[in-house]
Amino acid sequence: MDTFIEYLESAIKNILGNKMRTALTMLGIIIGIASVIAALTIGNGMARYVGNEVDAIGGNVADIYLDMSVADRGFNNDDIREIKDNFPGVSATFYDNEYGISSGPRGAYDTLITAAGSDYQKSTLTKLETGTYFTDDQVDQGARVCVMMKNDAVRLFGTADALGKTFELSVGGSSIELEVIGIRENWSEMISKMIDMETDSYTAMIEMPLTTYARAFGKDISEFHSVEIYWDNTQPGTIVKSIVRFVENRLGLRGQDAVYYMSMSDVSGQVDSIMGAITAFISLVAAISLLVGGIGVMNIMLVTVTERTREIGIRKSIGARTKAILFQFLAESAIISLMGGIVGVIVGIAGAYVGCILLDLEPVIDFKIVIGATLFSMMIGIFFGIYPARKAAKLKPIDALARN
Amino acid sequence: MPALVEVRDICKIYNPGENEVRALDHVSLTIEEGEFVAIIGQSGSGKSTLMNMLGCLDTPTSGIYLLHGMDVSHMSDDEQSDVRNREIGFIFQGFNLIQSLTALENVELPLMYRGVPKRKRRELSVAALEHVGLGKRMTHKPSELSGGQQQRVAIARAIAQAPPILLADEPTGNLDSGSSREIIATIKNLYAEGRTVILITHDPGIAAQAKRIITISDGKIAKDEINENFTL
Repeated sequence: MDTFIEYLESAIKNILGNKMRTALTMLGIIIGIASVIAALTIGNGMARYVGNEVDAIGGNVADIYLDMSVADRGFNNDDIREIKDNFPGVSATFYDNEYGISSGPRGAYDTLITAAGSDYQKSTLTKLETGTYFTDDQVDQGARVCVMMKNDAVRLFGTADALGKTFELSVGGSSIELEVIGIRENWSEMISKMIDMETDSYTAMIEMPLTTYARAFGKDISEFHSVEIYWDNTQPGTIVKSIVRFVENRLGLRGQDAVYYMSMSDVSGQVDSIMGAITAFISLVAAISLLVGGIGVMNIMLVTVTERTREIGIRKSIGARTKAILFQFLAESAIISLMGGIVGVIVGIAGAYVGCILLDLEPVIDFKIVIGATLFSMMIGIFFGIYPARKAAKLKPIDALARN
Repeated sequence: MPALVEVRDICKIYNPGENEVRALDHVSLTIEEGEFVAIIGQSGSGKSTLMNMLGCLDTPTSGIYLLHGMDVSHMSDDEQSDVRNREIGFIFQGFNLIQSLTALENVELPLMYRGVPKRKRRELSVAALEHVGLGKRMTHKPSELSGGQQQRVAIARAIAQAPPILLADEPTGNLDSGSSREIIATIKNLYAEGRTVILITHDPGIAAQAKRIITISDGKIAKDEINENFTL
């Protein structure tokens, strides 16, 4: 143990004796480790950001679809009742989308209408900020009420405090006056941009009772080819598949692949795996630079061995064993790489922070990666140090001494 | 009681085959403990090869080398390292000090390889440096010392571990005449204290300082005589 520490001390002394060269050698490792850390940290931050966004759109929600070329009929209210009765903790509703125009005191805007039952409030859009959602009773009665986004309220009425205010909604030739009873929080910037991109212009979004919508605009709501279901957290994620099987049986479509579903949690999984692949690719590129850094260490250690051949000869002539020389040179390359690794971790974390701030992400520093990268840098030093160190240790003292 | 050094019929042949060079050609010699031997020869005579054999830095093509009666001519690298460490104190022409280490650290080095604990090592090294008159230069790097001082550091390194044999290879070859005299005086003192000294040189004037003079020529021992004029 004593000699071990002394060998380390002597290695550090040698390294410090050649500061410029050590710094340049370390640079390769620093860049390698820093880019791995930065890539993984920014990648994790992105994955988390996208994951949060996707979760915000829909967690425990799925849409079940019927292939109408196979099915005899669409879903009706009885189907919804049966699903609810057979699966406690599950609710379901139909919904329909239509584009219309909202006209308020401050102007008229293209509007995406979602007409649904009261259960649609479980659809994980944004939180209701003020007011209430429409109730089953309001849906049954065909009440002329709606829920809208805060932004849209500001556009239509000039104020977010729009509860109780009314505006005109028209689709085709028909129009209806609706009262605002609930205001939702705004979408995150990313989603608003996505929506605007899809519709080419500013589009307001409102939700209204399905019955009101059907009466006002003459829509048929007796059958739908899709139903949206919601389940609470006590239910397993596999509940969607059970419901799909239940629906297949009920509609006599077993084994015909006519019922399918789409769930945001699946999308979220896909997004995660795409982000994972991107992060892995960037890390691979970074790892290649780390490899180049390692070869740099090997190169310098080979130069060092050549330069210090005489020293090695002296050491061996006065009794150094092969292992002592081997250890001396391995310790030097390991320490150079380890120091480079530590600096690289610091630079990498700093770079990741700057990158995350520029990209408006939350930096996610994974300490497993930090510790792993540090240890890995040391392993690189040992791995790429082995060849030069062996070369040094195998020198015959007589040959080594003969060289000047 | 076996002799300290016994070389039996050693040959060292380079490039075996058509252009072979017989650096040592059936050399036998015995050196007893406490002797002061000079090995003299022209360059190319084989004296350096003999010194490498005696110092366990090289292995013979044939023949054996017994140190304390133990065959050290057919050992592994590490075993030879251990023998060099325990049995032989080297004094080289070019001093062979490690430039990045201080005088004291250089002297400590063989003791470190032997596994002597730090405190004991320091004690022995300081004593050795004081013995050669460098007690005040211990923290100097070799580059800060004169040639004579560097050679005295090397001598301190050779004697710190009290090896049975001091092997000096042209110890004054790189020194001016004043420093040479000092170094020879130091080596003579070490002999007087009871150490076995083997001195390799091409200079008859240096060789004449030893008690026994072995002349080597063409890889063979030409003369092996006691120096009648030896004085301490």
